[in-house]
Amino acid sequence: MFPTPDLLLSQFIDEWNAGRRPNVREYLRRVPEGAARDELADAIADWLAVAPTPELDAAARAQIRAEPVVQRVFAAAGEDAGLWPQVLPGLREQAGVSVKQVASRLVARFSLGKGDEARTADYLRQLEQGELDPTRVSRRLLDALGELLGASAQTLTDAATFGQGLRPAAAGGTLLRAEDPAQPWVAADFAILADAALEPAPPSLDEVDRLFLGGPEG
Amino acid sequence: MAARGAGDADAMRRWWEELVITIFDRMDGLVGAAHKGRLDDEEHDRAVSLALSRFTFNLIHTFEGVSMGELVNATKTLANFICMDVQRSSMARRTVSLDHGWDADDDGGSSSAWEAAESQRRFALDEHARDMDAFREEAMTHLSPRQREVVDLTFQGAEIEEICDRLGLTRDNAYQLRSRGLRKLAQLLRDHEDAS
Repeated sequence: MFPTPDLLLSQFIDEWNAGRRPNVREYLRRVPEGAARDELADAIADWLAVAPTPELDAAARAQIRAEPVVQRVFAAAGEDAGLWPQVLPGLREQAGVSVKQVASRLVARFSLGKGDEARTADYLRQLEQGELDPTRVSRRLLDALGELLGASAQTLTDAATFGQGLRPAAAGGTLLRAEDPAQPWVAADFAILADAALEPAPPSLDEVDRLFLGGPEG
Repeated sequence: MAARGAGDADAMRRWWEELVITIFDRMDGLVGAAHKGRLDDEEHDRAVSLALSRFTFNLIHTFEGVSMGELVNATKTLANFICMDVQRSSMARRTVSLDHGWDADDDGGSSSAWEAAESQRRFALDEHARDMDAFREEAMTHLSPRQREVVDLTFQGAEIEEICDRLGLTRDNAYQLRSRGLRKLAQLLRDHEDAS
């Protein structure tokens, strides 16, 4: 005999109010899949929409901080690649495709040459390993990846920009706030710019590069 | 966000981490309820990660002018949305805009909101409590007298035993009154959010 959704909801509420951190998925597993489980899920969601935030003591807060998913999110917040190295391989595996297959589909989608497949796969691997800044990915590639991997472009964008949103804003006006004379710094900057100006121009981006490195409009 | 504007990344980071810790159980629970236990652990964690990244994005870009009450509601909405992303085919659910409740202008003028990060966090949480208190007070009048008594005691933190003792109810009766009362409140909250 399974407990009723009403009874389980009440137990969940009592645990929540007491700050005992009830786990929704464990509760859902106590009823058979189907109408009863759906009813309990909806009832718990309703409760969570209006529930007061329980007082969490230091131990409970430390416990939450130690949750693997929280650790991963906190770790990703400081990274250029944001959450992509964490979510991209998982989404791909869930979609049941290899990096090579994704590359092949992208090549077809963007009418690239057959010879571009290896380079596309390489870019994809770099993205999955956090070696490429995902904010440089073009919007059309985001849309295509989203369709292939079953995620919206917006979700992928959020995951990409996740780390950057938590950094200090660009320090415009630093020179004006400097207490020491700024000339040596300015001279150094000019020297770097002058060196860069003397370097030969980098090769222009081809279509594959534009997709992966060209920025949103690329 | 002035911590961000002023380059005080540590303060901003601490503030954000504390907020994530505060909202984590609710977010995790809403994601679990949204997929109704159909995602495996890995998929669930991925959905929670994505929900937290969306939450962070929205917080940073639109926090100013968004109450914590809206935040909770938007959390529920985005948990549903993220689950649709992670497992699109399994559930029929509301297809509301992800940006519902997050319409504050991204005008770049939000930097002052990061000031005094810790006090801001507390203020925001107090705001949420006040918003919810005001909503509950009004919404409770729509419940039947018995439902109102049970739900009121629930919000005061009373466990089911105590509710049965104080109101002279059987357990089954108390479970039912609690469930139905809360369902009605949640519906009223949805109506309230839709209207505003």
